[in-house]
Amino acid sequence: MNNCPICGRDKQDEFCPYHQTASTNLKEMHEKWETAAGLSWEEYLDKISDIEDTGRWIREVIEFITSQGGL
Amino acid sequence: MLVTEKPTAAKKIAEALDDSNSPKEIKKGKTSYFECTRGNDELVVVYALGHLFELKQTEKGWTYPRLENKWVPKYEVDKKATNIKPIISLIKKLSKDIDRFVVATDYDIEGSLIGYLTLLYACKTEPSQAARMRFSALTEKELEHAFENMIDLDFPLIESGQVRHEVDWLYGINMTRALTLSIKKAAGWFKIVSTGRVQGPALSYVAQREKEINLFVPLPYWMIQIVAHHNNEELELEYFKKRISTVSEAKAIVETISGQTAIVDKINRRTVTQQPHPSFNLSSLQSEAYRHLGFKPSRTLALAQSLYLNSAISYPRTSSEQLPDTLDIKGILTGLSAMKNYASMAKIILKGPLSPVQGKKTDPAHPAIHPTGEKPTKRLTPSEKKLYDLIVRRFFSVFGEPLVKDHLRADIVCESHRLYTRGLQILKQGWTEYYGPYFKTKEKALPDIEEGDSIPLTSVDSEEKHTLPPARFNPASLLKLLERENLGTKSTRSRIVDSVRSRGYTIGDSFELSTLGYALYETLDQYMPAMLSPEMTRQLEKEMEDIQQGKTDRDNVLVKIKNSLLSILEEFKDREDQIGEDLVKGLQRYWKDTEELGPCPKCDDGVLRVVQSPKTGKRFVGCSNYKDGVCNQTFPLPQKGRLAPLETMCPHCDHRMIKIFSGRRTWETCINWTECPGRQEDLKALDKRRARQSKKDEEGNES
Repeated sequence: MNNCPICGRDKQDEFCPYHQTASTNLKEMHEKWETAAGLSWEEYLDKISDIEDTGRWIREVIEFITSQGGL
Repeated sequence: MLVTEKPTAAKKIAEALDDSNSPKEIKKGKTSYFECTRGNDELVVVYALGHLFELKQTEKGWTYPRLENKWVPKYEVDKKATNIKPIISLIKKLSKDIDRFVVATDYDIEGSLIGYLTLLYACKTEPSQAARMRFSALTEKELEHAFENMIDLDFPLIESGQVRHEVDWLYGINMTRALTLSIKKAAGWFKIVSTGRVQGPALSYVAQREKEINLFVPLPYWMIQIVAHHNNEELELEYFKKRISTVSEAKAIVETISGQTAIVDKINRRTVTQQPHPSFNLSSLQSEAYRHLGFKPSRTLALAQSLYLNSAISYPRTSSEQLPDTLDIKGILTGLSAMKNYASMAKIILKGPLSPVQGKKTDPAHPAIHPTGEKPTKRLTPSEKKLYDLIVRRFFSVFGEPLVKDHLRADIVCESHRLYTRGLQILKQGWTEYYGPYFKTKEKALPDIEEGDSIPLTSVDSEEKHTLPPARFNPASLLKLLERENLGTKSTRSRIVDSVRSRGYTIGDSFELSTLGYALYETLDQYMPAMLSPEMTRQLEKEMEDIQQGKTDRDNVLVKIKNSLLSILEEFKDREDQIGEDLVKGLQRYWKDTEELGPCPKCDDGVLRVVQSPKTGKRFVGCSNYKDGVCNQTFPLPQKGRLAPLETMCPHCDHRMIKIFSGRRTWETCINWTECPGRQEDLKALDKRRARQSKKDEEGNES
């Protein structure tokens, strides 16, 4: 399948360029949250989903990871 | 013959120049002109309606590339412009007996071009023989002065205006056709997708910002909140570091200073003086009017234009923030002192030295926007009144003394930690006395404390906060960015900002990129990045400025631009199939987002869609299986306003929720709103409102 599983755009790697960047950002920022608040990956995803200002593509990647049981 | 830009301006100019200030208006069918006498001269004052002539393609076919054009009467290009024909005919007829032609249009690039094209194609005269009136306000004094001191036409300025139209035509026509035809080729649909020389970069700014927002991951920080007591008074203290970056550090601070007593170490006083802001140019007026009055930039420009035509303010399309020495400031203030709302302020200013604060920006054609001091001849609308008040108060404020305020800060020490409390005291109102309603600052008294006082901390806590994404653009901030990037002109920017929204590329009042906006942005970004690049359009602006300054000419610039456009279009043609497919995919996503309302509740596999009845033109929700005769499920829809499907379902009937945007009002309902048990009260209220309205309408018709 050549389409992004989240939005249906053409995918480059796992996702389309937008969701790919969102996925990379999400992973990179976990380190900062871990240092600042000591959150595990699962706690971090939960927390980020609850914050209103989290970006739309970030939220969509979290939903996808969760739906795939990838926590 | 004096050629003016609009009927209102023609009347003002005729009245000002007529010896008895009562020119004769001669009606000719649906149009008219003015006759007046000035000394031994008989003057004929005619008017245009903005541009009377537009560019038209000279080669055949709705295709691309199309690079050749000519100026023709506007009604040949725009079938709705039927009012232009009698005006051109009248000017042609009257021009036969004229000794001398004078261009009395607005003194700027567009006004100069309107005058030039009218002389050339309607008056059929040689423009180099004509004279030019130069004025910045439609007041009798200024118009008389302009008439007695006429100058030659500014041909480099006219040529630059001409090239601007030609370049915009070349890019707009060709790029829009290329995009539209690629969709037609890929899917057989005729859906116009437009872009332009400045619109492309504007879309790009909105899209870049949207990307940042969509990719934003908030980061945590902690704020220390401290409450103390002193002299039976509760004090809120600030911790010296606004943001603590880890929870462990925040906890440590709370533990260390909780229950401690702090000592006031020092009280600092810093006196600050603040000069008035300079007079308005168009951009700062638009920005301030959006901030304080909520007017979008295009509305501010339209209102300012109306105030100008009413002789109330000077010409608004200016970049200048300066009031020249030659301006009769005393006369303006004397005029304003005769107006009830402004009399007291004007009289005070008249007593002082009349030296305004000047800004840095200049404009060779016009001074900063200022009131003329003349009473408007026509009653102002409420919105015009608000804008006029803003302009008058800003004008007053530039003569005001500086605002003087004291910033007070008490430095408080607790263990090794520093805490603060702050106050602000205004010592002298200065210019804000005039600009008052549009200047907001909160005075806050410093608590009654002295150096050496002990302050027990009664509550210390930390609160988790998160960083915020960049803000979306609003009409004023996007306009400001275009100005900073030198894209477009002061006259065209507000229209471009509006067009990004009106073409469906953004949603709502905040410039949130729509799926259609994404589709266009992504396609251009992948295949024709030059069309999104501010660099290309900035370079074009520079070339047009060079024409204005006589450094190059129209032919040189046009040859260069046509060559560059041709190579872009050739590249487009080579990739047309792929571009078309990508745009079609984007459009399908757009329609899915805006028109699909989820699965049909009646049949198993149908999808609910917004459909427009070909017979009545009314919209409703229908099932996709209707055309196969499988399902006849429909729901009525509100007919007014833009509609957006929501993800949520109705809590009363479990049908899909929708959001309606109508003017400034938005509301949510479900697609089953006429039958939904939870909305019957709303329906009754709606029926009552409708009944009241139709009664009002009937009464209106009778009267």
